[in-house]
Amino acid sequence: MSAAPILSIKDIVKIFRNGSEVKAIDDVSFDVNLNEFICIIGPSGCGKSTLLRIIAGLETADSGQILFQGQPKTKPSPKVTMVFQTFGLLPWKTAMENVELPMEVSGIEKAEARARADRYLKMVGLGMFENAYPHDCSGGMRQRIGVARALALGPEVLLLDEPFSALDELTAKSLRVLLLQIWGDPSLPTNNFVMVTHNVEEAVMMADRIIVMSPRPGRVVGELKVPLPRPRFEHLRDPLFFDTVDKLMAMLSSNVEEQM
Amino acid sequence: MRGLRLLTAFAVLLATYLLGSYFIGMSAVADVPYYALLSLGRVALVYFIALGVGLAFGILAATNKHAERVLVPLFDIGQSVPILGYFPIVLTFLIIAFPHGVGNEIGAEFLLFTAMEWDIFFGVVGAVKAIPSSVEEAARGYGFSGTNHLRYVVLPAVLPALLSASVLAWNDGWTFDAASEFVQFANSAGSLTTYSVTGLGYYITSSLNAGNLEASWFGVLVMGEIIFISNQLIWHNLQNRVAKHKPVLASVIREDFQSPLRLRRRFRRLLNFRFRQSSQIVRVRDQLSTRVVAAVFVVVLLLVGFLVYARLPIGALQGFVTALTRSGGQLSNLPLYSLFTIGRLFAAYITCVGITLLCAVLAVTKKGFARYFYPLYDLGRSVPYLAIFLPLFVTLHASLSVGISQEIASFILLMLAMIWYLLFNVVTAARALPTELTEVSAVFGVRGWKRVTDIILPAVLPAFITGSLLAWGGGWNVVIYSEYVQLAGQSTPYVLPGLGYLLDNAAYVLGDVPLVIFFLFIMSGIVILLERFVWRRLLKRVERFGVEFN
Repeated sequence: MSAAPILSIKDIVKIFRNGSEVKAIDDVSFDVNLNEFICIIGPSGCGKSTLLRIIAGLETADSGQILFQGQPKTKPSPKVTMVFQTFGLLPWKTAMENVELPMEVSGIEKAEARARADRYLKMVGLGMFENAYPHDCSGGMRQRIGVARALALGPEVLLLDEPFSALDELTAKSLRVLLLQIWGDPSLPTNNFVMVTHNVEEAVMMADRIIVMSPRPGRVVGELKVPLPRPRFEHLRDPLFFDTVDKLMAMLSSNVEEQM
Repeated sequence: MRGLRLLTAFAVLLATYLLGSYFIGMSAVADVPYYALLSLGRVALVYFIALGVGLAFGILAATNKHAERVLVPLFDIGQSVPILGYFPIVLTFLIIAFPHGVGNEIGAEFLLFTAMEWDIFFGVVGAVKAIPSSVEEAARGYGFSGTNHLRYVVLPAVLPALLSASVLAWNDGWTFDAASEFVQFANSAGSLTTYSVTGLGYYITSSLNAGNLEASWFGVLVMGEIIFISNQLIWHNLQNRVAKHKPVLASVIREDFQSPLRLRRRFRRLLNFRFRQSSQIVRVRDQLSTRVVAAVFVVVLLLVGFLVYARLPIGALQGFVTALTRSGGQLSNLPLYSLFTIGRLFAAYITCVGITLLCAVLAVTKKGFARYFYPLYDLGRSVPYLAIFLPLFVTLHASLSVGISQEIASFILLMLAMIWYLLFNVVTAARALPTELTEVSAVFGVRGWKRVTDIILPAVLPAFITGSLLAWGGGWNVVIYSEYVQLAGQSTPYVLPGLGYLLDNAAYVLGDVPLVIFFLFIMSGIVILLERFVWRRLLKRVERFGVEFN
């Protein structure tokens, strides 16, 4: 690797204390390189969502460090934003206001914020729905608002917490395409994605590199570079795609057997 | 564990009694245990009657469309008319119909019944309607019908709601116990009449009449202790047991890892019921069509017209004009006095809102808040506010002028009657904020005042409006009580200018039934109009912006 990693996860340990102590994350380390799309995959309870929250600064690790551009990061920052599983939109604000709010609080001028919100909502295909409230929107539209909100701040890293798992498969498919376009668009500042998922095909379809985690305690049990060329949608019937899926499944299930 | 708590409860009551007999005198408190048992028996008896009626009619209304069309509006109107407003008429009627003290007893129980019934009825209707269609379909698919359906589907589904409604009913019953056991007024000739039945409420007021303020406060204390103890020993216990297999109401409260205390989770669980409960009550009542309300108004209006006409054969119109100018009826004061009463409620309401919003913000931003809030809430909810009013008034009167003491006592009474609905609904909603919203504010740096105005307040708004609706209903019920005070040894009552005074004056001093009905009609009209055109409207408007609880 020539360039320094944009994000380094170093020896993260997280313990949940709820009467007894449960090691949710046990010594997890990996790097996110510049312009890389990383997927973290694992069964439920492996701590992948907690790890994402530690990266976002929503939770604190019991030991270890998150380095962002070489500097320790413990708090939320507009340089690292997040897309939520069930969207996390404010129901009392329109699509436009939802996208504007983070810019407003980070001190961006009102007119500039409006212009940017407008641009990003158009980019995610909601140009017509700026004044719609979340409850008038379908799940897919809501997540598009969530994506626009996260991108409008112009972050370096976008964290995605199972962004498609609350959507039906057809909607999820079109959103995957949209996200890959955004990721690959060099004119946008956001080109480093870290996505948590439990969907194997989805991970293979989207990631450059996949981090495999296992539960109890949550640790990294493997790493896989996806050898498929991009755009991936042209290679979904390649034997290589299925081989990669199988390999990933094997990594996941070997661990499950170990547990039993 | 249970035995220990029972023992503690007895020890507390015994200690209270001993301290009372030491400081106030044995002779003054000797009968208190007997009175307390009488009141307990009365409240319990009426509770079981209300429970039976509520279950039977509630299930009927929820399962039968025709019954619903009749029962729901009927009960809704029943609970919109301030109980204490028509109590004098009913009491007078009952005493004439059932002499030898039987009428007094039935009257007291009637008042308790009306204080308890509505919560239970609407709770049952709401819970039966909330049974998921999948459960209903499964039950039908497996051939459940009749008794089986009732026993295995309906009753278990109703149980949690029934319990939370029962807590409300039980507390309200005790609060109204003070008003129901002792009614005293002077007629226009100045002679004092007292209707009473023996009990703790009687003890509180009669001690006051006898000039023994300490004994009166002692009675309030004992009543508060009984309410608190019965809440802890009976209701919380039952709710815990039911919470384990609650069938219908899904939990909306997130589990956070920082709560090792079992107690807190327990509190939250049962509180959650109540929050759901009250919004459900509101929703069920919402189904009442405006047309039905209008129809009932027309009927009442005709009734009033008829009564006025019957009393004054010269003609209804002329009778009405006469009534307007009749000095004792004070009809000309009606608009201004109505505004005074509304103003009194509004002042108390605004104070409650301030406290509530502060608590909501604290509930979201301070981690340990719930640990202090819920026990305090339980304690505060146990204060029998109607019982507290008279001793409070007399205590204040010792150092302040009559008008000021009565206004202050009225303000405190109204606050105590209103605040719990608001606090409860809003704080529970604030604590139930989905984790994701908290995370969103953190990720995108929404902090400080912006977080209050853009996240917390909008999120609790539906709960806030539900709470406001219930609080105003509760406030109207008791404002009447505070505007008219008749104690022994004074020829004229202490009054505050207001609708409640007009009502009591018409009932007690003038004995003018049409006038009472007319005032009642005005008062219910204000209650219903406020509810329908302010709170329900607002609720409808904000409900679609509510947070989705998964």
